[in-house]
Amino acid sequence: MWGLMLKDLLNLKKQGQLFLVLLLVYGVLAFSSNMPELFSVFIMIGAVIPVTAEAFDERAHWDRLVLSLPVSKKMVVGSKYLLGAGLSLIGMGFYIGMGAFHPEAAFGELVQSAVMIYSLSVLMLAVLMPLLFKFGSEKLRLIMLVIVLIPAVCFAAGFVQIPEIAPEQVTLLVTAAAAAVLCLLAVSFFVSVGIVSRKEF
Amino acid sequence: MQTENAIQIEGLCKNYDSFSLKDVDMVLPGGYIMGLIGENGAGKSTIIRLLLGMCRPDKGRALVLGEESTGLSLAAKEHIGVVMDECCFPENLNAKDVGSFLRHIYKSWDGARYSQLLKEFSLPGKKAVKDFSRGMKMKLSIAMALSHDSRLLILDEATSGLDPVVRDEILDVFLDFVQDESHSILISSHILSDLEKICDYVTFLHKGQVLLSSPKDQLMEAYSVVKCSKDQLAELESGAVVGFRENQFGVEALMRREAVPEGLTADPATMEDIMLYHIRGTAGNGKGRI
Repeated sequence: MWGLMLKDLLNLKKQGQLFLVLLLVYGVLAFSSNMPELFSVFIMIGAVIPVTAEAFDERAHWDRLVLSLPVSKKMVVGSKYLLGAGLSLIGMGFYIGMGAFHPEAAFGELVQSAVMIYSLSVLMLAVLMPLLFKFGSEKLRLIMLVIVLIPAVCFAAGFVQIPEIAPEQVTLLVTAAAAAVLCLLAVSFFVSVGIVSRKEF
Repeated sequence: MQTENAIQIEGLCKNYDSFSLKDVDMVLPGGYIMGLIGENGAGKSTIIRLLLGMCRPDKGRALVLGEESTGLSLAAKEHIGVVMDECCFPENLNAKDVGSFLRHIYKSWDGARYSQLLKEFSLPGKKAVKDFSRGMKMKLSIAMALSHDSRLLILDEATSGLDPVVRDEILDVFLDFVQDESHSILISSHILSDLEKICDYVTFLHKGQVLLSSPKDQLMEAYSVVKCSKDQLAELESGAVVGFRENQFGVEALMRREAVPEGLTADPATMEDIMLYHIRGTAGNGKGRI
């Protein structure tokens, strides 16, 4: 599976350079605008990278070759999940690392919010991946507009407010959310494997 | 010691809306090269996809290196090298990247052999695949197929669109590959001159069915192209004539060599003759007109 992930990472190295510039811009914005939550883009971007990787695969008709390699369909699917979850995890590390330098951030709260945002990223991955394998990257971009952009805009514009949670409940909530999302990710993985197993190439 | 068959297909059927593969039987003995010949849309790529387990047959079975194609193990795939008619690597990868990730996929990956092949094929290590010419892309795919412990090469129109010099170079590589008696090749193509050069066995496909499948030499010795008049054509043994075409000088007909009567001019049939007359003609005098 590492070989398949490496293939995607090597193919995306040019995009990776653009992402780094983007992250640098966000990092500067986060510091200068007093909004440490902007660091969350480091985490969320990981969930979208498998979609970009799959788009390149589709363009190259990679599926015509990959199944002739000594890899199983489960490994093909798993590599995309690991790519997204792994990059989000690295993003979480950046989030905590960068946020630790921000004057507004308290470290404990930072870690909790990092876990929460990572859970959101993994939730997005869990929802997007079966749709990606079922419909392909082109159609998924349209679906993503609905799934990702509209709630994000509603939240950013204040149409949706997160209710006040008592401090003593936050840790429990974050832990429960993370556990629930990981279970959902496992279900999503098996759904994706089922979709790909039934496909003919 | 008898080598197992590299490929064994029995009664293979696959139905699509506008095309069906029907009752395909085919055997590629270990250590030989088989040419899979047919016009565009004959079913060559469908057979290859069925062999690699990319789709499931509706009926029949296919064995690849002794394993069912519908459940090829990862260990079996280590020994299969595949070259498609297009380079399927994502466009931003370069040859060096391809080697980097494949060594984590194939247990038997030979990085030194891969580097040597890149050098032999004059392929730049750091140029993106999207900037390769068609010939370079094919060579990269072939370098990949030969850089692990392949015992069976499956080539789907791998030489189509290549210039004669590159094609000749690549055919020599394939001939070198089968010097090892445990190595076999299935090559699908409609460039018959290439296949005539290297194949031991040929299978003709037409509209999803096998017209002929036999050793190449046997096939070519079995037929002759005779030149005669229309009256002479009518007198030829019924059933011995596969097809014929008229020209300004008379008639040319493909027929079984042993049935050619004395006095008629008969030339050896090429594979192209055998394919054309079989596909575009039916047996019998006065029928099978091209």
